[in-house]
Amino acid sequence: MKKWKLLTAVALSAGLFLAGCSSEPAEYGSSSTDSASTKSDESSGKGENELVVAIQSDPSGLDPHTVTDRAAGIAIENLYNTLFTYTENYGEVEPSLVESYDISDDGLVYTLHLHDGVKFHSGNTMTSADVKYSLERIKDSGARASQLEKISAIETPDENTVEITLDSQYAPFLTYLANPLNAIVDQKVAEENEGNLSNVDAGSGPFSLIEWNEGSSVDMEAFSEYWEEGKPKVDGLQLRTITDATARATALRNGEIDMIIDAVDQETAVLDGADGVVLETIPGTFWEYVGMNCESEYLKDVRVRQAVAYAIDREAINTAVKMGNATVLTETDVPPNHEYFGGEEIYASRDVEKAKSLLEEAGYQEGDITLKITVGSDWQYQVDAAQMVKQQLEEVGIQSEISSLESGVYFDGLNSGDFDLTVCGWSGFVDVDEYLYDLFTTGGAYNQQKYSNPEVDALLEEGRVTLDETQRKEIYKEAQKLIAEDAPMAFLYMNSFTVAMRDDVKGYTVHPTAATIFMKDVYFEE
Amino acid sequence: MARYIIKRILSIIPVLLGISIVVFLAVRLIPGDFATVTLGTQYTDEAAAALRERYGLDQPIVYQYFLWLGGILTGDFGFSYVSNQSVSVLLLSRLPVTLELTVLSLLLAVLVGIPMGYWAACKRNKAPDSVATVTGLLGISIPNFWLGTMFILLFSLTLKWFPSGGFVPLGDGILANLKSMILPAIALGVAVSAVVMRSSRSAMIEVIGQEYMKMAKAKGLSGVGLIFKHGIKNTLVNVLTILGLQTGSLLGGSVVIEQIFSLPGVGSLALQAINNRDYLVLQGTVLFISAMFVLINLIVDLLYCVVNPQIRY
Repeated sequence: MKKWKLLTAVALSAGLFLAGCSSEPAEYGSSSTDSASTKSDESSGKGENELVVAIQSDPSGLDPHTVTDRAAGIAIENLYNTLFTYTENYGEVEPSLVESYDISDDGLVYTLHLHDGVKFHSGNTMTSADVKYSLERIKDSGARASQLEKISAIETPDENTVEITLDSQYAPFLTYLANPLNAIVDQKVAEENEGNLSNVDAGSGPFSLIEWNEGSSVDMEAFSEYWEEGKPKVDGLQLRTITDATARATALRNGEIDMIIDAVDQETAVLDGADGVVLETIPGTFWEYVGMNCESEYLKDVRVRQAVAYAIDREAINTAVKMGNATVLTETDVPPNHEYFGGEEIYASRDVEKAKSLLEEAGYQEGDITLKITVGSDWQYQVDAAQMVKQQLEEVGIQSEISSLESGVYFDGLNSGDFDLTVCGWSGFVDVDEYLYDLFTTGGAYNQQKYSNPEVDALLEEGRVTLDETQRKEIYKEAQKLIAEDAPMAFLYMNSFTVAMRDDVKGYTVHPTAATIFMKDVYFEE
Repeated sequence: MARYIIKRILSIIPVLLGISIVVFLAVRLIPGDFATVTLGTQYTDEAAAALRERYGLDQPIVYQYFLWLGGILTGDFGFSYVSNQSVSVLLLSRLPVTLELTVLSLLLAVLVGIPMGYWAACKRNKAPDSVATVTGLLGISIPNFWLGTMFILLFSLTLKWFPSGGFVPLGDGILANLKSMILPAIALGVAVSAVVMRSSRSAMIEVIGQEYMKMAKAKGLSGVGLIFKHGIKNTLVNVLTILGLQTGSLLGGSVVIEQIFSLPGVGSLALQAINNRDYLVLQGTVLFISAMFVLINLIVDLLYCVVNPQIRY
């Protein structure tokens, strides 16, 4: 009896231990890459001429049309291609899978002529049917369905031509087609997998998928039949999930990895000046502002809003809260490095006297105005910025109190207009229409400030349907000036975006959107 | 005995049912809309409605619960909303990492904590006892995320002995595997060793004070022989209890260490599921960890009869 009990105990413990030691890779769902060779690579080492890039979290999936997270985005940008693509100039796009295109005179029909003989990783040749299938797939189930909602019909007159008809003119359309996640997928592969591309490679991008080791890495190899000659320049690309900032910085310093996309402050502080590491910092797309409720008691007067905008010392907040790393916004949210930047420097420096005289003009004495600044407690840097705003407003005679709220409660208040001032931010915009339309048109989807100016509305509507670039730039220049003067927001700064690289990594273009579409140009310096 | 085991296994059923209800409700109480988290901000209302319908989230909550429970009874934990993979496949792919981490940390606790505790008890109020007590206190007090970060800075960045993170499966070589697991196992195991050390110390102190120990001493047994023959055996029930509880907490509590050392374990799966509001993965993971906890407790109860034949069920 005793022996039996002992044996049971030993067997149970051994079972646990053996399970612990099992190293059989788990079987994933059906995948077009099942037959691909599995690379044996110690996670500490890396293959020759293989680029290893750290990602901050595991991708949520590999389906370009449904994911929203950056880690998945980085994998998809390298596995897939889009019809158009971003250029090095922020806000500008150029054809990619499309060789040439025509737009009808009424601006409603886009005729796209595709490159001949573009191969998918499956070996299938890309045709207009794949394009039609992909665009419809994005419209039907995608996380970015709203970007393509103006499409009313897609025709495929021949294998290399696609005709897209819009129900109204829409200037940002090509920018949305260039969004790296609005990718063209291989229809046959998608259908073989019953439309589920979450762990499948249906792309034609510079790299093809070897294996996605969930929680560890996405392993890719250079696609030998890639349509852009001479690219990619490295033999393989591994995206390695390293969630901890210290571990990431250490791995880069040790040369275990070659790149960190979007290095956080904690990393840049350690990596700045580290041996063999280069940092490249540019303004990104995450911008912050002091929002003003244009329907609240005092702020409905444009002079009070202007006074707030002049009273705020953006540079001082940047220095204190962002360690001086952000780029101060002197007009609207469209940043200085954007193709459509207005160029007026209305709030280039703080002007206390002007703020005071504006308040006086509006009929307010020192201490007459008390405002409530609401902030989300999850974002400490915005709480810190609010503290400084409070102090700066006091100097022009405006009293304020800060209310720091749990994020759910905070956004409810923001959406229902229960605030005077708020410190908040947006990110991810590319086309100038994204920067302005939903935020500043009357009743716009994100117009939490309840701002309304019919003149601005008309300009922003016109900008959406104007396809001529020069004309469009003029329209937006005017709109930005008006918005800045009306001050529905005191625009603060555009946060920086940093890529950290080993010093032998060359050829990479850091893009404000954090898109890694230029990974195909990367090579190692001998 | 067999009847006891059957009774215990049957008693697990209501416990697991209770856990399943708590897990199901708790997961749904996390603020944040699944559609917003999944689709971002640029989705249409139709897409959100279609998504909710696809995953049955538009159904009444009680119906959703029974649907999930029914699936589990047939071995189907459902699919991840995000990656569309089977929850059981996801769990099984992450399990080896967490189990290896747990086993190695426990090994450290058993090999270091228990002997140190016994030694401290035998040398009570002398230098070794003070050393063990202070070390134990330090072990419990130092947070494992800090220890993990320090290990990376010292052993990986400065000394370059170990990689800074990542998991190498056993199939790729035992040495490479151990190299990737040693730092996290120690970072996780230090606190467990300290707890085990303290409990084995107090258990041994209690045993040393027992009448039968005095009797054995009076009969001429002394020193190491006394401890080995009569001492250790009688402390094992206490030590096993602590080890059982610690194993349970290690299985579910290694989230932070898995994050720091980029290990694809069950903890990081749960964390990712929380971030993505991936309800079925989260429910499956938490239920699984709870079930393991209950199972380990059962094993510990059974082991009691092995270490102390007086215990009969």
